[in-house]
Amino acid sequence: MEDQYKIYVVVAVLSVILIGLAIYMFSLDRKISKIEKRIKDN
Amino acid sequence: MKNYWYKILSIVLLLYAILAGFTIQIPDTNIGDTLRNVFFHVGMWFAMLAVMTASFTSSIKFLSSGKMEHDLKANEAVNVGVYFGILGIITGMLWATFTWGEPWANDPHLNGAAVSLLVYFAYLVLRSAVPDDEKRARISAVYNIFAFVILLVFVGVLPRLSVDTLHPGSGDGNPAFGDMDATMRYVFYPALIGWIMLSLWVLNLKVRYKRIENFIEEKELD
Repeated sequence: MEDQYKIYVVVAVLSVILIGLAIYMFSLDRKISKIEKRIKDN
Repeated sequence: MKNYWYKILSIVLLLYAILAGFTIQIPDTNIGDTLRNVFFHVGMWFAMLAVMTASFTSSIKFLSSGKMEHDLKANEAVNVGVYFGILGIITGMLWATFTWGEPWANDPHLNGAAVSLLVYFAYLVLRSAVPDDEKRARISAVYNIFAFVILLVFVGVLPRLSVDTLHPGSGDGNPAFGDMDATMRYVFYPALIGWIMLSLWVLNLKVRYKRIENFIEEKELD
């Protein structure tokens, strides 16, 4: 791989981390929504 | 599933900031590729400013309505804002070590940011010092309004008036925008919006978590 393209490896890694974090935050968001719904229904 | 648009937008914009931020051509300056930090470090401060503004408006809403809901939001916003502020300071120090040769150059921008953070630490201490809910909400709301003004002065006004500074943005407008290259702005502004949306998302989660916690505590008292 040519040197000038190696930065794309870093870009790929950071993108994976960001997407991973996003999935985690969305799942947290959904979990909180579910508890809110349970409290509302009771 | 309401109000999801800004959460998705924050991730899309931050993804764009990473993809474009590392790959676009940046102008040749004496700080080299570290210039790319501007897409991430400055975002911390804008995120902090966004949640502190939310905190400020919540405090005003509390004082005019007396609803504890607003006090809860003001408090959580300060918590989130301080967190982003600390991240801003750490990333700034890291960057400064490699460009200015020392982590803390006693620059007006740096000291102003530190003072503003201390003012918000005092807010959190003040809250923990007042046991009565109603009183705590009222006193801290008034203090929070002063704190926000101090933040604006120490981060937004005084550093720009200073002449003896290393940090960009004196005399030429905003500390973040300065005389930035046009192509960098295409990444910079979306990145800032992305960070702001992300901080509002974190705030949203924290407020809802606190509401649930309060609800459970009330149940336990019954």
